[in-house]
Amino acid sequence: MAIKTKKMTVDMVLTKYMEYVLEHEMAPKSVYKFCKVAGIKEEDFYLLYGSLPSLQKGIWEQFYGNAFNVMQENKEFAAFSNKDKMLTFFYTFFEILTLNRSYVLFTLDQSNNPMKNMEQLKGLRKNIKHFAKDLIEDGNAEKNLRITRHNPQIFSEGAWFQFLFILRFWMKDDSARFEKTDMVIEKSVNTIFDVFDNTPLDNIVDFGKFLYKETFA
Amino acid sequence: MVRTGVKIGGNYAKYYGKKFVNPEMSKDELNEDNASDIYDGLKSLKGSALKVAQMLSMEKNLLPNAYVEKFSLSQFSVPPLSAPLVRKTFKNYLGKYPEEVYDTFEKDSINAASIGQVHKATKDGKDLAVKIQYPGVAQSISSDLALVRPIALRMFNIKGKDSDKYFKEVEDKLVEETNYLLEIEQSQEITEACEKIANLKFPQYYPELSSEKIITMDWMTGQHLGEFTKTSFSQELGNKLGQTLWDFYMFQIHGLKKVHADPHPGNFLVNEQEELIAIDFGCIKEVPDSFYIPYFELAKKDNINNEKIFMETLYQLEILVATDSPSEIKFFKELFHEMLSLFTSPFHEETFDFGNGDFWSTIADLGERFSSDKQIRKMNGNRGSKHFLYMNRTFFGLYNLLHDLKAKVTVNSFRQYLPK
Repeated sequence: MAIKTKKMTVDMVLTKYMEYVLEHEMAPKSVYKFCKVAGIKEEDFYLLYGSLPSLQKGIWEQFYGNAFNVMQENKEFAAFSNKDKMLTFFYTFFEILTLNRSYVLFTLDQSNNPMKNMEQLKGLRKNIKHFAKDLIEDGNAEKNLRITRHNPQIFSEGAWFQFLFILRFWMKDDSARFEKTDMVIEKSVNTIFDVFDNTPLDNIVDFGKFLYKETFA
Repeated sequence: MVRTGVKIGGNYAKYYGKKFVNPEMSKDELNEDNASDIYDGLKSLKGSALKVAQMLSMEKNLLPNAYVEKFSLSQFSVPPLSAPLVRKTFKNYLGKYPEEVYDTFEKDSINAASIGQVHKATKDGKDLAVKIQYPGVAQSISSDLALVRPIALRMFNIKGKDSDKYFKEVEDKLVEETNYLLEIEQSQEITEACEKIANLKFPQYYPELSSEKIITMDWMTGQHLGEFTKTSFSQELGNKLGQTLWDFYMFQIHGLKKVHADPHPGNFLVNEQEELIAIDFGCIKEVPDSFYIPYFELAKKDNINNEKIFMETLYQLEILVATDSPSEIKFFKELFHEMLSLFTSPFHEETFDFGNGDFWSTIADLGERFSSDKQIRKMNGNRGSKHFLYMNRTFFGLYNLLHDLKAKVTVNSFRQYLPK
């Protein structure tokens, strides 16, 4: 290439896309139109994304990536309990969504069809499920009894549904600083961990084994 | 709250039912049933409702014991904020995470205050106490109060539209208490004004490390007054601390015309040098002259026994109103004469012994008599200026603390601190 253009980073393309959507109050109809308005070379665009829908997905994955990096910056994070890690994730993620609230509301309201929203959130879903799975497997490693272990597949799906629930709440939240969303996060995560925290079950099984051994063995 | 209403009715039904079979069933048992239902209704509410419960539990001599037992529980049952939410609150209100603000910050809270929790931190070699408010408390006050309102109306036998002024007063004060910026301002103001009072200490406040929802102050070491009074302390020490407490309150009322209206044992510490430390200035009641002047007219023995002055004062304090019937005037005149003579009796002496059991058993008898008096039950309890609410709370709290200290105080010693 004769003229050396500044290389487009993912961040820059995503920012331009979000600007475009907010300025025009609609999503671009073609890559061509978007690139022209945004001043990006079409070939550069294709280096990063194959289509506009895949870029839309990319935005959500970028949100996740940002949240993840912010969380890792906190040195204490690794030492947090699973519950605190989950809380930290939701708080951080929704902070990032709040920074991009106009775009998020627009893009999710736009396709009023929930199935279409799901398509957009596909990549994020994978990320969140992965995050939850890691936590569950960590938790399982500390549990001695198979019966008290959580199935990572089922429980990570649960985390995803919890996310969708909080997302819906946040979209409609009109409290200052979205503090009601904070309360929903705090209360829902606490509740879920209380329900699935099966220490009593551990103890019952332990006691049962003891009784069995003492009375029948 | 419908549930509690129905259940209280149910408890009475149970009471009379049992009474048929077993006449021994005590009213205490009934009170206890009622108290736990009310408490169950309240405990699901954090924040302002809890604060109301705390306030009710202050008047331990006017409420049946069972209510007090249950309501005292409410002061300890708030689930703490999670560490991530604490971090988030810092980021929201100070723009930084706790570890950026302090040298060290303990992520688990040391104890719960009714609308917030306290963490320990250090910075530049100083131990600090950091108070963090629960998010959303300020916004939920009105709705929480609407929930406790029917209970309060029933407990205090308040009737009529006019009762709004009391609820408004409570709501305003609670909203003020959620304003931490105001609390810092008031703390600094009172701390400065009361510096000269002997034997009294305050933490230093750090406005630059505080915001609407966060207060940073010195970490004070000492024993909570509530715990201290359970130990065996000398009469001399009890007198000394009691005198300090008395001077502190009288100076505020007469000198500043505004007073720390939450004399709760948890708001005071006793340190190793046997000094008293005041640590919480969330609730400050300003005493307007329209209330101060008639109220303290009655603190003079001659006035309270002078029929003409006494009657005038009752009208000024809105205890009697122009629309009262002659029988109401007679009834309330006698009732309030007895009550006010008793409550203001400490002001009539040179020294007053709060450890003296007589004073307390007279108050308890009076409370018992009022709560079982059928005539009062039928009368509208909705009387008195709205300023009575927090002033009574202040005096009750103060008298209770002084009683726990078994203190004998020199009544007019505070005058040395007043501007000449």
